[in-house]
Amino acid sequence: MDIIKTDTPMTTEFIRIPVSGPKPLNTLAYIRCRGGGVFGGPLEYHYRASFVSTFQIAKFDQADLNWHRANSRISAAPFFFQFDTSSDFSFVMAVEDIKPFIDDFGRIGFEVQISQRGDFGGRLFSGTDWIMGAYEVSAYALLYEPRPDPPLPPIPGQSERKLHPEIIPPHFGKPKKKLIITDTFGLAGSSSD
Amino acid sequence: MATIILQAADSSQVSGASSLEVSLGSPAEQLIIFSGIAAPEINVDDADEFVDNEVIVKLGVSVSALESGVSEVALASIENDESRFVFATNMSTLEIDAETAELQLRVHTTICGEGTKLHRFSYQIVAKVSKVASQISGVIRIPQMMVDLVNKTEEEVFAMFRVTANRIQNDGGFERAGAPVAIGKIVGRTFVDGNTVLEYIIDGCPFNTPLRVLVTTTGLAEDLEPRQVRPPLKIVLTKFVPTVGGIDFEIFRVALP
Repeated sequence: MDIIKTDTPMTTEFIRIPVSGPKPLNTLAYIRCRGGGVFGGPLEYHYRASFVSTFQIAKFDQADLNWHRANSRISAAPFFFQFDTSSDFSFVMAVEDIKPFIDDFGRIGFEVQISQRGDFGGRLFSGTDWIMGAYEVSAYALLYEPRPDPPLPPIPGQSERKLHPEIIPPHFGKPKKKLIITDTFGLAGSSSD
Repeated sequence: MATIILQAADSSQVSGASSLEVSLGSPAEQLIIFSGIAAPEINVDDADEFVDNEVIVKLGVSVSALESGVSEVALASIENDESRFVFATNMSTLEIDAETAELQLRVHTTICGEGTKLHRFSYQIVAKVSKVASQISGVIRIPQMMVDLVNKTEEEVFAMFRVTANRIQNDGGFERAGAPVAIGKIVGRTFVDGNTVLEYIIDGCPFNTPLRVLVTTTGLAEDLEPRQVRPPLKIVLTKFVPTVGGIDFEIFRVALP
């Protein structure tokens, strides 16, 4: 079966969600990308479309590729979002199977088995008749991505503030304004609250 | 309305089936994500009548509670023979099989047309569940004099063995292992008395279902075959007996025909 490979990453949307495991995996990524390959062309065609998303494992090191491939988990499904024919043809349009992979650069990609068959009386792409289909891939990937360590908590009893605490007295309500009474020459007299 | 039941663990019924489990902090609670392309192969040959079907995809994981779940279903493979047509995956619901506690996806489909087939549909499910602590476990012993696995990495060795719990079917009075309902994993490797010993577990097996464990291999010589060496061949897990251990296998050399 032919493999049609698309080198340019497909348009992709993704989000990363920190998770607590299973250890050592710490990131759940949701990835949605346009499907590679095309519907159209030969009347009967079965092939595998291979393409990558723009999602790349953070701080990926090629020396760790086998580890990532052995331990990462990816669950993916292709979904058609467009079927179209120019007339009442006999046709088959199918995404039969999907296999996710991690490429040499740490990008998540997919190999999708595509089948199409049309009985168009030899008129396909003659300028009047056509068949079109498009799909996207929705995938979840459970991965390990290095994260900066959180700052260490203070050692009990050794914090400068704990050894010499600064006690700030509580302050309730608005501070009262001090009223100063002056005589006609502006000289202050006795004050009263 | 006909009901079609498909097993996600059987690649002839669901292709590209995959799942992953995410820990949410509490050990009992998990987020499980399932994806796959189910193949109900529904055929109709009538452009004037709408034909409804119900497709149940058994997801191969038993749970004690389904807190919440969402599913997305869409057409994946359709065929029509030059007529008006309808293809629809109208509704999908995620539920627990009351008898086996297995999680399942129920999809309502409609099709119409001459020479019209709904071969496959895709699904993706995200479910927050509490898992049933059902488990089958055992070991696979591989004599080193038959297969030397000392110099292979754990990943390479684990990839050579596939362990499944298969539903036992009754064919004309004979019981045989049918479709797999849960897939196991190898969790450890040790070397004992000239044997490589692989420990396996199969989590989330359905309750009240007669099961048989099968081990298949890749990359071994044709005359080497795994065989179960400790009974029982037929395992039925229940709420009262949720785990069974010691279902052990050993590699034997067999005479080829």
